[in-house]
Amino acid sequence: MLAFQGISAVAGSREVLRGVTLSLAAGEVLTLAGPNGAGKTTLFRVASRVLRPTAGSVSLLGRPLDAYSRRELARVLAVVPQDAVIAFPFRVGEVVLMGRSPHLGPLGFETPADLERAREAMARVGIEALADRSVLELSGGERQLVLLARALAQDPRVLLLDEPTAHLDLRHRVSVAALVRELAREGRSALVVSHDLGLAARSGDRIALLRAGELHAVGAPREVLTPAHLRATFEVEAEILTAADGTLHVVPKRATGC
Amino acid sequence: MKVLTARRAAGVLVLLSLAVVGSAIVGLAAGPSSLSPSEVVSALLAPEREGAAADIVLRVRLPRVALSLLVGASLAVSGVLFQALLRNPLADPFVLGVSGGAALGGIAVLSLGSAVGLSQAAVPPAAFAGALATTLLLGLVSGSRASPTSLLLTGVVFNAFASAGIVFLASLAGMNEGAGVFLWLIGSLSSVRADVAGWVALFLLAGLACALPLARSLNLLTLGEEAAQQLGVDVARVQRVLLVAASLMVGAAVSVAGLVGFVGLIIPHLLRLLIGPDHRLLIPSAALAGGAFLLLCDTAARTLLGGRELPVGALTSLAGGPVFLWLLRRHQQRIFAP
Repeated sequence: MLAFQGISAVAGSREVLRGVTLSLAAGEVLTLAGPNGAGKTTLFRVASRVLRPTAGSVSLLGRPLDAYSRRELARVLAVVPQDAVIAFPFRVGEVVLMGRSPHLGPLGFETPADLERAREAMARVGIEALADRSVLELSGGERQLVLLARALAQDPRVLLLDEPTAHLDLRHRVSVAALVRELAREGRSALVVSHDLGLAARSGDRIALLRAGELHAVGAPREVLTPAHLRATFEVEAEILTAADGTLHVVPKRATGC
Repeated sequence: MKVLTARRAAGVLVLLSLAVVGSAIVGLAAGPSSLSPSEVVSALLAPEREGAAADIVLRVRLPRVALSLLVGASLAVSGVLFQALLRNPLADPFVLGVSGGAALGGIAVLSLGSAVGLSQAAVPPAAFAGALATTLLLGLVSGSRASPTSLLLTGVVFNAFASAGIVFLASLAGMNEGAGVFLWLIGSLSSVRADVAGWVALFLLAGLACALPLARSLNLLTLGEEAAQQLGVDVARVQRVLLVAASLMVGAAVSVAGLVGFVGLIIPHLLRLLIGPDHRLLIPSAALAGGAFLLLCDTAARTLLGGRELPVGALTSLAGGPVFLWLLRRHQQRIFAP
């Protein structure tokens, strides 16, 4: 679906990514984890062609990323940012409907089918009740759900989610994780940046650990979430517990190196 | 789910068009020799009929009414464009100093143009050039990710510079004896000449022709540049086209009316409260409402003091200053948060 081949990238004057090779299969949920500043968000910016890599190439659905026009790209790949500052009092429904934009002609209005898609997206995320509220009145968590619904309205094959549960309460964390799983069952792929390793272990197929711009490890949660890998990437001593139902839990104990 | 439909948009635009017609009739009827609306309408419908009323309506008042509609429309639409492009609800061509730059361009031609063989017809293009140069300079000085504070401070400095430049050029050319410079600085429609209406209409239409097809992209741009790109917008192209469009309209407005302030702030804000922020409807609505607003202000400026005339810019700034402060207070926490 989405493949990074030897990606290096610079943000400002700093080299943020170094030779990252990683690929995402159809129907796969891949969690990208790593310390702050490891280059996770930069990888998203490269994948959505907001930032050009200094080396390497990206392919999407077997085509080089550069071969897509902006609109074509937006029809197959959607990004859910951590947060967004929206400058004007658009209603939630209007913002979700903006996700239909890459599918529309340059002029004119959304069709009833587009409205239906937007409604569906809001229903899946559970925010139908917010449809007529101004986005300026929302909490951080509600805004995050709106951005997720907007991405769903885009009807993409690949979703890039940047800490989609960061501002969410426990119930919504679980329901968003379940929704991402459901999207994967539909054959869509998701690359998810997350600091919640336990949730990543439960809802992700694979986990990739990024450290200082380089890929440190990638594989099934059980292979990647080991004390040694966590020490190397996060500089913490952590204990990995297996619950009665077989799920993994990461318990950080203390920082090493300082 | 409440969303903008073609039907709702058409309804709003019909209502606003009626408001434009209504304010035009008021503007054509009001004045030292007051006419009835029916006299105005019959003069408009039968322009070949001779008579004092027809003369007043068609030759005295109509050019000024038409120009105030065009200038108001240009200012309001350019306000909408600057606010969306800069993602700053307080942006307005006057506040940002773009109008000041346009006025400086216009005054340069008026005061020095004859020496290099430029006629007064060169004023609108020079004002456009001044507006565009200021817009580009604004981008250079404060960058595309400027904080709202630095953007507004840059505008303050530009305005002070432009006012000083205008007075300087006018003094050089000996223009400061008359009321000419004063009228440029405060903004007035009292000395409009019918021959520039064509220019203004052309600039306004060109600006609208650029802006309307990009209205949906502008909606996406208010989510942020990256988000807009990720939703398929060619952000750099949209910004380029719309900055030129906005500068065209500011140039047009300033070249006939001088520095009429705050229309680009009041009208977009009022409209967002009434019809929402969707630019597909906001842009054409701002053109109609901005025109009607300035026309009514100008009619009041002509008639309030009996025989004497107020510059219309004094009225719009008297209204706009408090509105700006109110908006600043309302938005302070949101847009000035770090």
